[in-house]
Amino acid sequence: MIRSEAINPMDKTVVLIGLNHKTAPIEVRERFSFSPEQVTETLNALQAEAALTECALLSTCNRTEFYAVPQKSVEAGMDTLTRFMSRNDTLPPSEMDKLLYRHQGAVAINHLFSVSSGLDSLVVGENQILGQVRRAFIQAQEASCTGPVLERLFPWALRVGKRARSETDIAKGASSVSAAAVELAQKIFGEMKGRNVMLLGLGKMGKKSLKLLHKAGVNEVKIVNRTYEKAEELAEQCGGTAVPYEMLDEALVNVDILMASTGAPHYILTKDRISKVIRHRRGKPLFLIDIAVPRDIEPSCGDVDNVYLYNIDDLQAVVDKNLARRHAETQAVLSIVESATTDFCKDFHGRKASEAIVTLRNGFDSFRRDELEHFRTKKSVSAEEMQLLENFSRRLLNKLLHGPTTKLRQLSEGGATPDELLDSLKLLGLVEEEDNP
Amino acid sequence: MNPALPMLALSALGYLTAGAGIQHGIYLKSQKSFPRWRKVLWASFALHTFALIVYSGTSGHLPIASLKETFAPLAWFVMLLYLLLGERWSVEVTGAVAAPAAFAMTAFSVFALWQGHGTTEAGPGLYIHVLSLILGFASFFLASFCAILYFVQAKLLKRKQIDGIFRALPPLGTLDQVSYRLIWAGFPALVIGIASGLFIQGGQWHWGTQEIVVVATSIFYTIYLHARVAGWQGRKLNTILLVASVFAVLSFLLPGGHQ
Repeated sequence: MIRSEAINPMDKTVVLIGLNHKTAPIEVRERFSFSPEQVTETLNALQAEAALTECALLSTCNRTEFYAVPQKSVEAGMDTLTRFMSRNDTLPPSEMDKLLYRHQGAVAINHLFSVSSGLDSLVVGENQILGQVRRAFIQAQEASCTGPVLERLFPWALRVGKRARSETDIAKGASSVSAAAVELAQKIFGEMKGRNVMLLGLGKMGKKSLKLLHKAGVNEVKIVNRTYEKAEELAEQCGGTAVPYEMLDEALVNVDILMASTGAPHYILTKDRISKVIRHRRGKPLFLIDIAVPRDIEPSCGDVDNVYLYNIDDLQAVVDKNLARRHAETQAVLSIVESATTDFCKDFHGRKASEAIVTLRNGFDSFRRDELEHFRTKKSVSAEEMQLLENFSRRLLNKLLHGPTTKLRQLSEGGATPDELLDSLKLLGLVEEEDNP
Repeated sequence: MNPALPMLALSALGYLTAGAGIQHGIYLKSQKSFPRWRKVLWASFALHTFALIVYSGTSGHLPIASLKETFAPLAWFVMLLYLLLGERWSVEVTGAVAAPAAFAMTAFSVFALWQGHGTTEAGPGLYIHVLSLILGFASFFLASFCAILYFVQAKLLKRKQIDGIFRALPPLGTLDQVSYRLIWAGFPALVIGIASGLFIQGGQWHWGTQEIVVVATSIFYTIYLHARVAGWQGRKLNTILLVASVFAVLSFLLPGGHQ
């Protein structure tokens, strides 16, 4: 999955434990899912755990994942997370092992980047996950569970997600039938503002598409149903207007998009009927969406000038093509994720090296200043001589530290862990040794 | 040689490169490179503008002494309208034709000017006449291309071929809006061009071939605008626009009595 040789030293930095739609069926996932309130409670409880220093919990309908930074031992951190993951579940450990995946270091980081870029989603490239990752991060921040690692990791993951979506076509095109209907409507009319929509019948799919069209900014919604009361009921809910079934043709004259989803066993709109309506429309395009089975609209209606007819199969074909295009982009997104993982690890090490270098320089500089102070108190040393000493000591320090500074950078680039870098400073007595318990 | 000519030639090359880039993007079914080509077009357009200023400064008049010369300002207007429209509407794809056309027109005028520019006793009347007609024809050219794209897009939608070039083309509604606005800009320019031409000729109207075609052009555009204002849209309206465009091209290219 990842070229991790160069970034093994990250292993102690981030750990991940989780399950998703690939490892667990829905009936298992729902047992491991956390509500927003439960996420906060769990994060608060995790704060008291000594094995972890930072933690975040991503819980969606397709995944539950803990990202954490272990205090000392990765194993102890993993054990704590497994305990919190299983909560009250009584699955035997062998079963749990089959459901859960455990990653650490670069592989865990790579996994989070794959998640945020939509590669790991059920519908590849879906956008919702980006908001869910952001929410998980905010919840962890609110619970004071984040620190230097997660504070960098999650914003980085969000950037990777955005980059994948802007630089590739991974999120392009509608991925559901109702979204495909809206996408086609936009391809016909351009802006959806000011467009009039009619819902013929009260099918579930029609209502779903109507919701999306509302979101896209359509102007007026007319609802037609054989039972007028039901049409009125829905019209009230969605802020539309109920139209009596007998007035269908007249109302159609001013409609741009018609969605038919009745349960009628025969065609409701025939070619003759549509042709008559079209004569009064002055050439304005009419988009007919037939999502009913059996169909409500005679297929030959699509032959009428300025009429565009799409049935459920046509819309599904749009979705299939979009999804195929998304899948074709996965390789490009994978390389974005890979390079982002490497960049993150390098950046992380670079920061640690910088911290170590600052500690090193500050330590030696304090020695230098102490010695200078010693000379300054002597009356025999003039101001000019003091300046000379100042310059001399600074130059000497720079020359002496050039080698160790370069070595620290090389160590960091070579994959030395932050602990190893600090150990090298301990030898010089610049960092105090921790007392053994 | 007029120092503006190399600059004009360079801007023509810029148009050609950007046009080819946009066409390549359409071929690859990707619009990612379009913003980059827009920048190239803006740079070429700036150079084109500067070249026209230099030409006017050195020769004392704009290159409008002959039909061949007028192609340089015509290409300039085409690119100006294209770039302005692209800022508001997502019609970058029209650059696949507009930019190569601007290249051809600019290159043609460079070739004509290389052989020696004509002299013109240009008064303000002539400038108004020629420049307004050029603006009108530039608008009609782009509008006709939008109308062609409308038919292509409508056909793809009817046949449910919703992949490939379909994704690169703008929505039908956008194409309809853009061509309407272009005709709104071009039609008054055409009327001003005709009126100023009449004024230059001392109010005498000669029923030559060009004049008849010009009248037919304005009639078709009047019908288009009248129908559009009355709420008409769709294939029939775009057919009228295409017919009007054919007359517009003829009226521009036909040799008139005042050439």
